[in-house]
Amino acid sequence: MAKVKIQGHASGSGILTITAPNTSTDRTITLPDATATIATTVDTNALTTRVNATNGRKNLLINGDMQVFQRATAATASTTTYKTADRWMLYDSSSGAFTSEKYAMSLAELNTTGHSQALELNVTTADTSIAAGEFCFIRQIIEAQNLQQLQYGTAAAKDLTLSFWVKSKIAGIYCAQILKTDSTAYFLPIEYTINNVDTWEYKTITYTPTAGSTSLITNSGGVITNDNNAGMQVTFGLVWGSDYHGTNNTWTSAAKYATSNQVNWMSSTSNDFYLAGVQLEVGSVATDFEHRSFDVELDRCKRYFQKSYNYETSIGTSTQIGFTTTGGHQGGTSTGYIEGGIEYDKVMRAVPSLTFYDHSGNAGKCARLHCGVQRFANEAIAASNQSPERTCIYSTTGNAAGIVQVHFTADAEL
Amino acid sequence: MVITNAKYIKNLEAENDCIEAIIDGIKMSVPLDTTNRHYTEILKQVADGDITIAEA
Repeated sequence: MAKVKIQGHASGSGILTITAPNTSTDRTITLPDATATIATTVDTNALTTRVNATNGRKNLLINGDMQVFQRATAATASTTTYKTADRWMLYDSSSGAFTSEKYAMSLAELNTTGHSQALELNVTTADTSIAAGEFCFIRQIIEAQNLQQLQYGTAAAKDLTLSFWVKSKIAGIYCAQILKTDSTAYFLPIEYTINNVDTWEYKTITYTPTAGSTSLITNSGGVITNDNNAGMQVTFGLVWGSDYHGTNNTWTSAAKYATSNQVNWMSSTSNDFYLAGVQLEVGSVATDFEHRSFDVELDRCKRYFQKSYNYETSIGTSTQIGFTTTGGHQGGTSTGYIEGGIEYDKVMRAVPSLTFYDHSGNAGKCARLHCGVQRFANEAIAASNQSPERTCIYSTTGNAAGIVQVHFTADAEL
Repeated sequence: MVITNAKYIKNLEAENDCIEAIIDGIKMSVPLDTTNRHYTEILKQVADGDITIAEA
């Protein structure tokens, strides 16, 4: 690289004039009082990315800092669905088993990571020999209409950068993959390395639309349909059988979620895995984590899952606190239909699946209340005319009562 | 997703309104909505011949 040296002179104030082609106007650049490199294109692009990324809500993930646990906080067996941290799906098809739970960071860990909570996984049954079709993972699925700014399906498709804190009992290579699910499904696994066991490490991964010199994402098949269905999955692999091994950092239409280098995290019941501060943002630079307040994060989670119980109360707990009380009329009773409704706290992504509990914790049941006389448990309950905003509920027959009371969960997860 | 005991539930107008089923051990009321992940899984398992949905 050619360099221009400006010789320092304590009393100098001269201007060095160089004739510039293609302009008739003088341009004066004031150099810094230090030896340095004037910003390159790479520098300015990175700055532009950073500025863009900090505008508005940059984290495409919800509950990335593991603040919200509506379903459960204690160790819960994790098989095929949402069990503990909101929006984070856990899946285990191995011959082993693991649990998930909320993990509270120590002050030292808070000092290191900047986060007060994490998602903790523990192997409870080991699987030392992973079959070709087995897998275990942590995943968040992003709603398609929240991804339109990626411009997938066009030549202007954007980079995505994933950043997160991770700690594991097993060091080695893991894979974090994105799957563009809409229209045609395309898969992009990328390796990252956990260097030291039992140590919080910060990782960043950039997913480019043309990774592996491919054009799948920039062609029409890359489009993410603008709707409320799944648009993209972000998956942290724990175990992937050989059926799912592909090429590192290369888009493919085959169902490849990892590479053959992925460690077998299920190898021992001593193994644990912690994940915190997960952020997915547009651009090629990982920026500081976007800390959102608890109420904002909980509100966003409620688009996908709600419950009638107090936030801290476990689902199915024997309690009347939070009971939805509806229908009928005080004073009058019936052994037949009592009908009412439930309004959700927030409009949900889709019409939710409902689970009902009475005040004794009986699943699939409600209470029929004869005001001032008796509350009857274990009564029949059903839903009808459901929408993402509300539902009718009714108890068809049972003890003479005028009001139906029920706890519920509403699940509209992707 | 392990789905058992699926059956249609009729609304007050006697039309099929939702499906009641045990899903991963939990009794759920699943709407007939193709954007609901439980309903799409029920349809898939019915198509695969793994489960049937009983009439109300």
